[in-house]
Amino acid sequence: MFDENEIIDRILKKDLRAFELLVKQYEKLVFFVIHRLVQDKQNKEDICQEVFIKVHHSMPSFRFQSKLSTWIARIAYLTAINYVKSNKRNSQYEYPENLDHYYFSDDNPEQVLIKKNTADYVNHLIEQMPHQYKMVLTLYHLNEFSLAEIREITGIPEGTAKSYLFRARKLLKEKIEKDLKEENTWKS
Amino acid sequence: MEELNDDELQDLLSGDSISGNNELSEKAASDLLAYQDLFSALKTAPQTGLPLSFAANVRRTLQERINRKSDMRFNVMAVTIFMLNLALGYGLLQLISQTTADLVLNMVLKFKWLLFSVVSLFFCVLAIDQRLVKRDY
Repeated sequence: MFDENEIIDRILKKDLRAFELLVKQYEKLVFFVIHRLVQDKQNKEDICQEVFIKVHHSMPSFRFQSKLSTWIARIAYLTAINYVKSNKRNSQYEYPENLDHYYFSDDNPEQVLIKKNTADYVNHLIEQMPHQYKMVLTLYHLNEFSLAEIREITGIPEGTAKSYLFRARKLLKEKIEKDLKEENTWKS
Repeated sequence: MEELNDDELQDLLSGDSISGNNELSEKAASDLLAYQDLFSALKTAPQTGLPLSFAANVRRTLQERINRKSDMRFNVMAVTIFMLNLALGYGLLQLISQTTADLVLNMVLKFKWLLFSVVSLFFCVLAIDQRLVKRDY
C-alpha cells in the first residue's frame, strides 16, 4: 500500500526509488491536468516530467497542511498555466473576457466526425472551452476533487468554481442536445 | 414539478439511480438523463496517456541533474583547491628562500599560457569524462 508519510520521509532522505513510486502513484493526476490545459501534444510528457522535478525540489517545503494529491495538482496546474501563458499566441481559440458570455461556435467538419463517440466529442468540446471551465470540469469529474480542494489547487473561490462547473456542464449538455436534435432532423 | 435548479440537479445526480424517481416532470427527467450521460463521458479518461516507463524516465532525468550538480560542485572545489595549493606553495617558498620563490614565480609567469592550457585541458577532460561516462541508476 502507498504510505504517503513513509514515501515522503524516504524522498527527503534522497531515496530516488521512493520518488519513482510517488511518480507512479500521481502520474495520472498530473497528466489529466496537463492534458486538459496544454494543446501541444509533443510537449505534454516533457511538462509532466518538469512538474515531477518541481515536486522533488519543493518536497522539503511540503508541510502536510494539505493532501499530497492537492499539493501536486497545484504544482501541475501552475506549471500548465505558465506554459499556456507563454504560448498564448499559438492558441486556436479566443474567449470573451466575461466567461458568462462564452458559447460554443458552430460545427466544423472535424467536429462532425468526432460526434460519433460521445466521450471523444465531449473531450473535443471541452478543449474549446476557456481554461477555467476545463480545469474545474477535469478536477471535479476526472480527478474527483471537491470544490474546496479545487479552491486550494486553482485559487478560484468555491462559489465561482461551482458556478463555472454548472455553467460548463449546462453548455455541454445543451450543445450535445442541439446536435442530437439536428442529427435526428437530418435523418428524418 | 418546476424545472430543476443546479443544486437540485447535483443532489439527484449524486444519488445512485434516477430512473425510479416518479416525482420529476418529463422535462426534468430528460434533463437528468442527459446530465447522467454527460457525467459518465466526463469521467472517461483520455485515450492517450504517459508511456509505461514514465516514472523510470523521471527518476533517470532527476538523477542526471543531481549528478551534474554534484560534478559541477566537485569541479569548482578542485579548481579552488588547486589555486590555494599554488598560493600556499609560493608562500612556503617565500619563507624558505625568497630567491627560489622569485625564480619559480618568474618561471610561472614566463610559461603562464602553457600552464594555463595544461590546467584547462585537464579540467576539460574531467568534464567530458563526467558527461560521457555511463552510470547505473
